[in-house]
Amino acid sequence: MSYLDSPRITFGGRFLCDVPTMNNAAAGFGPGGTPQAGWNPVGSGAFDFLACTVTGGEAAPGEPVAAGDPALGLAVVSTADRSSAKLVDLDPDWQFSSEVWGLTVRVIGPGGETLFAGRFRTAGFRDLWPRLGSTPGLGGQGASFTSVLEDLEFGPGCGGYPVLAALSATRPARLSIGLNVFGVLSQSGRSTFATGSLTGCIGPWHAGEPLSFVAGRRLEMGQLAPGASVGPSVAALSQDGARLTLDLGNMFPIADPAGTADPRAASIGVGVLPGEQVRAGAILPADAAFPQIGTVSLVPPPPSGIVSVTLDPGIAPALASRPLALFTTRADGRRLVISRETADGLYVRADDFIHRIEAGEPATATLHARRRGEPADGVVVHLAAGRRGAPGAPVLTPPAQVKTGLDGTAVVSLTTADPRSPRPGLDGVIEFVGYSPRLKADGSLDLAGTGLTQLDVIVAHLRDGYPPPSDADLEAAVQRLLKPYATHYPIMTAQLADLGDLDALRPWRAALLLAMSRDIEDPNYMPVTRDLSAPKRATILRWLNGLPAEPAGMSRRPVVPRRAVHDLIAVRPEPEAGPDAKTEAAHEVAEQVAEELDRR
Amino acid sequence: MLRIDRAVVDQLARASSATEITGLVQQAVRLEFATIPPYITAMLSLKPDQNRDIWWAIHDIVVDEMLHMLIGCNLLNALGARPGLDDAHFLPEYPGPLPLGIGSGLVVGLEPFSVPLLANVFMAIEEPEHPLTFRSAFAAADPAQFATIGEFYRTLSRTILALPDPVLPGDAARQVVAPGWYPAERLFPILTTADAARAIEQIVEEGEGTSVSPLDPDGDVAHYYRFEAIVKDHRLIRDDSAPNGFSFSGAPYSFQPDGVWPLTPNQDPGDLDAGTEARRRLTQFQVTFARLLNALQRCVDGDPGYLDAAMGVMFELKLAGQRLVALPAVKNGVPTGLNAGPVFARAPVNE
Repeated sequence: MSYLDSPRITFGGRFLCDVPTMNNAAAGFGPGGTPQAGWNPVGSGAFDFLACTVTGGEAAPGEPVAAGDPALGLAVVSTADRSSAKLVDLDPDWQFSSEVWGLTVRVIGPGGETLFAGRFRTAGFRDLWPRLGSTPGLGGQGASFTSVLEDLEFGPGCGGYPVLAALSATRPARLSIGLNVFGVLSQSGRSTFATGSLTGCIGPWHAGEPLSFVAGRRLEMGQLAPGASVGPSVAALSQDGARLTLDLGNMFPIADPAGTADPRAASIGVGVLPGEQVRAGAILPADAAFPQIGTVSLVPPPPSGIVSVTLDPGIAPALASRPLALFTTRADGRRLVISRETADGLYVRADDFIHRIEAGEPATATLHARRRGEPADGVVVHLAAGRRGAPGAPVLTPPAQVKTGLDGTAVVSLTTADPRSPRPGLDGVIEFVGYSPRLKADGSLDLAGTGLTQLDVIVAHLRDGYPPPSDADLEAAVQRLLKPYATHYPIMTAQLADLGDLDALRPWRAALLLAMSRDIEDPNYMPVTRDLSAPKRATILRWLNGLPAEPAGMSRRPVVPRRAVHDLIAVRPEPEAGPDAKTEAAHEVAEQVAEELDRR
Repeated sequence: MLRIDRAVVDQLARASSATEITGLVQQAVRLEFATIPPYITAMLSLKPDQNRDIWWAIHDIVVDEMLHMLIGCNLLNALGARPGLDDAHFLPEYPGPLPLGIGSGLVVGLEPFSVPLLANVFMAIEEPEHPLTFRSAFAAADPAQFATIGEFYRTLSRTILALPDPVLPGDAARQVVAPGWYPAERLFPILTTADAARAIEQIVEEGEGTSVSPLDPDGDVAHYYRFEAIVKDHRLIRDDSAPNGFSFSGAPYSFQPDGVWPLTPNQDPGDLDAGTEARRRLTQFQVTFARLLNALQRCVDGDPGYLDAAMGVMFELKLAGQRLVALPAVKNGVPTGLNAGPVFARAPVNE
């Protein structure tokens, strides 16, 4: 069960993506590093919904939220009384699964009253791919977040909206949520600066399901035409087997940053392949035995790309044993398979896949295996560790393999060691664990047919060990810790005080203590980048706690002579110059998929 | 000078029960809050690397006004009434009179920093009944026609002290104390009529000073004289050679006129083109402002610890304002020559 089940709502609009860019390049850190301003040097990290409204959904299986439904057009907003959520990269060396922290999702009524609210469990995006062909920059890339909403509240007014009433009827502890993001624009001066397009869907979640992806039937990336990729998608069969619902929200290539479908993807067929041997890219003759489930028009795209079709009862046996596929039909009736289900319908994915690990601490991650959407037990999953952006062998150690149990899950226990500062200027190192149910002949992981790309890994920021400084060295140590933030996250300096100047920080003791002692899930947590190790944070707190409290609280202080602060607000953004890390990674993924399809 | 209808003070003086005064205390909370937007607007207009001493001076007064508003909320809760920051009429309109002010009195707007703004508006907001003069003269006001805010508060204090039960009826758990932000001697639980009188005296003296000194009992310069010091470009310091023992002869503020963003006074959102970054950032500011009010409401509605979250939103509001006022205002496709200004009205939906 997931947001692909009923009841569900879809929504869409834009989103605020005020990410800071001066910390984007690892090469800008450390001795001799020269940080580039990037397109948003004084970004705050804020993430928010912008003008998002309910666009559709289903109150019950086969009962869409149609024209005239009172829920249509309701505003979908974030928090009512806290700071903005934050969008944060794990590290300059890993910008491919940015996480949303501290987001509250609310649907509000016409008077602003909360009809429904939930706390978005922190999640990173996946399935990054170039949705807008070869368009450079962030505007061309798309990705998806999947998570759950917790601490749910349903306001008294939700009863007036059948689909919300249906969502609340079972008094769920969690709901499933999917968000697709694309088309981030970076031209300053315009209202669209640092914003992008967003679509989403909220539906049921059931115990045992993963928290960060839909454990349904995974369709792999493919190609619509040379140079035009097709993104991954997922499908789920309703519990009674009568309907198939697909999430095509991050699947179809787009013709512009607003999300208009590529005209070549105007009409997409959904069907069941004749057999496992049929690969993506295959062209099937018009008379091929090819059970078809339906045709989806993507002009205009269905709300949030969610499509639900009623199944012909006769198709059930084929659906249970053969791969689902998406295809386009040519003028001569032949059909091009543009995307198909994973090999043998087997889909393995890590749930909690982003980790921040203190030196030498252990960690665990859970893998879920599904075969044609059902839990798959006894699946052996192979694991292999790697390191990014620094020399040396990985110190993150997984077992060579794990085997799933009856519920289709396997827990991966990871051991680590102190990486001992392999990156000058940056704490620790980025390491990852790749996984696959198959190995190549040379013993390396074989991702072909798994629905996974090289970005689908369990990734960890392994922090360096950090012995507490002596009292005599405390101030100098704190200055060394904070100074890089003044350079690479200048909005903190603009917002509070020059982080490189301890005298300037003293008057802000209370605010710093508040921000640096919050739970990491709190949107006020500092540093926003969430990259400071626990012992380093403890050192800064030790210094702050040792400062005398202002006798009159936070005001009435004598004016401290202050070092002139550079006019950070006036730091001019630079237009996107050359591909950013996300764009490069997205295109790399697409190229590898294309090469794999050619190879077959 | 902020002129208050004498009838309001007379009404206070006649009151003999808690329920008779809570409506006017709510108006006092509105008044304390209403001073914050003009002060913040002036702060935001000061460019980040210039006029820092002036920025700090106004900042500290804003922090005090926040405290005074919280004290007012504590007083309302002590009297058994709910503070209504979410009241439909809580926010004043700018430009306009301040709450409790009478129509012919002071008109307060949202304007960039200038010396005349301080001299004509901010000092008038904080002006005592009888300002002390330090080698300069201010025209004395005629107290017969109207009352001052100090008079209002002193009457409120006397009325509360005269209540029959010295223990106030409110739920003590709703009292906001926040030692991390305000020391216990400045923000404390109001449980008795004596606590209330002490808190009210603090509000008056931090704003106006005492009748004989520009300092409040903590030894800090009262708001009125801090603004006056900026106007006179020198801090108020002890000066045994001066008639009142003080003179504006301390360190200069050295105001730099080019260190002020030319932000649009009393910004109308409709005067910013929809397609501009400034318009979007104004909405961001208004959404953040709404979140701040909601967070403060939650704080005074029985969740005092929520002040931490409210302070987080306050910092975010400052940041949103800084980003906003650095952007040019464009109307009908033509730059107005001014920068965008903040709007202190709620926007429930970010867009």
